[in-house]
Amino acid sequence: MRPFLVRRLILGLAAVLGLSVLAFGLIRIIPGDAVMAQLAESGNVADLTAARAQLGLDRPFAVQYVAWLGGVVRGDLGTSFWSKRPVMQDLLAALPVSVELAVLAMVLSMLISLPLGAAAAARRGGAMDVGARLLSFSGLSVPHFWIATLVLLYGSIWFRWVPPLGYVSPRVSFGQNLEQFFIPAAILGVHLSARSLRLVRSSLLEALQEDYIRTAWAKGLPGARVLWGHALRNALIPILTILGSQFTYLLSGSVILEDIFSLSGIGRYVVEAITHRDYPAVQGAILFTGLVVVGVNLVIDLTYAWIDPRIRYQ
Amino acid sequence: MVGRWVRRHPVGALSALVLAGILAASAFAALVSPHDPYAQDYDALMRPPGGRYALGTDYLGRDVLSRTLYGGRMSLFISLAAIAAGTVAGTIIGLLSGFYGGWFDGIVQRVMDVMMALPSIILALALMAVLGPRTENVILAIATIIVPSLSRIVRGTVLQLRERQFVEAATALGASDARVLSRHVLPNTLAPIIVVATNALAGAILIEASLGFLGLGTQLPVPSWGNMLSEEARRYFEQAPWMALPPGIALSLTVLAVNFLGDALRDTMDPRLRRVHS
Amino acid sequence: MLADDPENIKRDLFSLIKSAEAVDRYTVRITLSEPFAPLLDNLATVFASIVPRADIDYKQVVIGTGPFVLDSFTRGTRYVYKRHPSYFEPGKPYLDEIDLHILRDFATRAAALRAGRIDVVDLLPYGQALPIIKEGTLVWERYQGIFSVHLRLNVAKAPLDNEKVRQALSLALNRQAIAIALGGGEGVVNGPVPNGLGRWAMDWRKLPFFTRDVAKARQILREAGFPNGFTIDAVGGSSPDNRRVILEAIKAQWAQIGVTLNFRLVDTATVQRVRFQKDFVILADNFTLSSDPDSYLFLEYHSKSSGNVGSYADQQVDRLLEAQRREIDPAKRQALVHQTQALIAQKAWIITTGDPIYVSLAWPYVKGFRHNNINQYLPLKNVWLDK
Repeated sequence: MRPFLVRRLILGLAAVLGLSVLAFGLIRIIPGDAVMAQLAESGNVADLTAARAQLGLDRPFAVQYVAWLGGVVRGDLGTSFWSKRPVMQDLLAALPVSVELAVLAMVLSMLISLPLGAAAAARRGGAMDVGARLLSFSGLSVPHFWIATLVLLYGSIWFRWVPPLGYVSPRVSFGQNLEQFFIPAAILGVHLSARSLRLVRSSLLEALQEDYIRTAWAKGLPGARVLWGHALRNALIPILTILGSQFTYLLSGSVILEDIFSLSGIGRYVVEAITHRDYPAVQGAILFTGLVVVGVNLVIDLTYAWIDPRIRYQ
Repeated sequence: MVGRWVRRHPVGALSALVLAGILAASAFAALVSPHDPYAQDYDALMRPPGGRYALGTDYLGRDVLSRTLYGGRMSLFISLAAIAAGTVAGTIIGLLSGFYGGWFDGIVQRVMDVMMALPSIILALALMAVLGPRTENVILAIATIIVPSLSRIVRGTVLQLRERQFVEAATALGASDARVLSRHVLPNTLAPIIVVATNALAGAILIEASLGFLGLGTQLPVPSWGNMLSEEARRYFEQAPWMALPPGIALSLTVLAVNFLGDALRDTMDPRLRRVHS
Repeated sequence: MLADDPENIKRDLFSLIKSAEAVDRYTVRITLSEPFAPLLDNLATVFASIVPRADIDYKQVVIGTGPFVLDSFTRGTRYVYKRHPSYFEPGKPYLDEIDLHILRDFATRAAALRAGRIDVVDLLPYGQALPIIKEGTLVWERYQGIFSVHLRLNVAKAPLDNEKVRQALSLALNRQAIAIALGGGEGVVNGPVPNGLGRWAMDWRKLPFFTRDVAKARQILREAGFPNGFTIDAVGGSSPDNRRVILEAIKAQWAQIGVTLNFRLVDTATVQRVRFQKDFVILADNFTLSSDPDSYLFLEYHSKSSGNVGSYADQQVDRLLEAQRREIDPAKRQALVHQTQALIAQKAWIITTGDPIYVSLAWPYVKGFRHNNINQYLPLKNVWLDK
């Protein structure tokens, strides 16, 4: 187990390092910079050169990269040009929002896709199968930012209701927090469920073909028990993969919805940082996201290895 | 044989038909459109459907129907070009990476890991921010996004095939690498490639829509389904829903059809499920 | 005073100030080098904000004497203000707290207003506000803004150095259509001084080359030496995006005289840079906001002005600009201001188009709210809630 773990760790770190170079380099190519953007806001051009020097933008690429990397190792991701706060602090503030949205959406997508996928697999080609696929594909095909617009518009007209503005932590008010999250989570959940539905269905179908399943049937075990007991457990691996990729997708992928519903999650943070040429924030956020992704994938790989010993020896 | 497929996958067949219709209408937009999509009629600003303008006009008096057709042409062109480019690039990378292995494979896979660690939309946004909001750059950005997943599938298949006897036999007989790759390995990767590419097509159309929605894709006044769904269409949706509904419905219908078709293709090409048929 | 920095584009708003000294704790005496009519209005702009002593970094600490104090904020998202306990007008402000939300998405803004989570929304183009107005539940007020987007022509670059070319470009435009399109149904055409400034603005129908005549425009273009038209590039900021609508419309209209307009929208940082370095042929930009016409005129067109980015230079214009600045008598000044605008329209240095009719919306329980034309200010010290 250990050599497997160590090897995956090293590979993961290499990926993150590559990501950091990508993040660092990408932004430098963009014309314009944070200083000018801030000046556009304040209308005061007086200290342009001074500000530039203060922000270290006059030093060469390699020097800046190494200096930044040194800080990262100590947990210092730099200070945001835009918010003037440490990037790590901003990211940690944005993280719970993204995590909550991701978890809610994933739970919802599993609640939809597991039973529907099982039903579809049990009666392949039947009405349930086609119906479930139709429903979930529809959720997948309509652009989610449009559904959000329609929900907001008609919610306010018909029900005089709109989600609370500005993030409300669940500790402050659980009700308001749920009000804020349930629509974007629902939209994302339905969106995701289509993908996972397909995979649940095909993994279950495949698992149902396995010899030991046929043996169980031959032995006379009740059908449902076979389905849920044995097949599902073996379909767990692909389902874990789905969950892993859903989480990483959701972590900064729900950018547009975060913007529309005023949720200050990591996705929105990255977009705003890119727009404002906020170098430290973009680098920090990409690195942070990369680390989380690698971490989640590592946990999933370990879980695989734990479930299926064959994998450890690949 | 086609008849058998149609009967077994009625939904997939219907989708293929719908898709063909949409593609034809878009490709021949110039012939089918009743009006010039750029002509501004100032006496008919935001007119509801009916009369001269079958689907109404937009905020500058342009015909929505014509713009939807031309928009489809643009969106589908972008998506198909991106998928084509990404598939070719991904296949080549996957073939080489899987076949030769070694340190080349190691490095390539790490780069692919890096690219897959970023959610597609962030990667797309970053690329568009660097390259600038133009149609060609959207194609490049989307192609870049699908390369990692495609190369991974191809590589996986190649790894499986590499050990198979017919490959070893071919090599033993003195066939060059290129010949082995193109004659023996590549044809067997086609099935998974088609499935992944079809999936990716649906995703590509939606990413184009997202980028257009954010104003980072094809720039107005050139219409694409994405940019037709942004700003004015949203702002005036209550009074003038006909500005946004046609591109929105066309978009959803197309993606739906692609998804169903892809599903049907996957069912057809999945060898493991084929066992059930017999 | 930071005004003397050569990189400060706005410094000519205050260039006539010779000296300023504090006479006592509450009085400052400003000495001018010559009479300066716009002084009071310019001092009221955001560019003349009073900053604390040099040892306090005013960008980090908020100090002021207004009716509300900034209590907390999340940059770009939300700003919370609390009542200033020792405001110099006794009893005011009535409100205890102001919660300012920055909602970029229109659907969210409209929805939040309807649902009652927001009490007041200002600066909404009429067409967008129409459905809400029709519901009849909110109190609304319509007005003309001062935020006019226009095209700055760089007369140092061909073919815009040719006055006939510029005149043809101006003549070919259907400004009314643009204004209406911008407002989603209702709009006004602006001259060099926007209509929101009341008496200082002019009736656009009296301005030369403002009333469309495509045939004449083509003829002038031919006389200028461009019988087949030409291609020209424009740069515009991407926010707010009425620039895009204007450019889309102008592109279609100029096509009728054979001029192909290629435009691209860039971010604010790039616009700043382009403006500063005068690296453009046509720039879709907006004016410095103020209640005095001086900043729409002197700052833009005087040959020695710090804000002159289009390389405009004309002695007659300069003289007029200096004269209107000096003229204290409002009636005489108005005549000068109008004269200046007519001359600038004749030279077609800039192309102004239209502006939406704007609307402010409030729930009926909000009392005492009147919007202010200077869009950067929301006067809330007289507002109270009847709830």
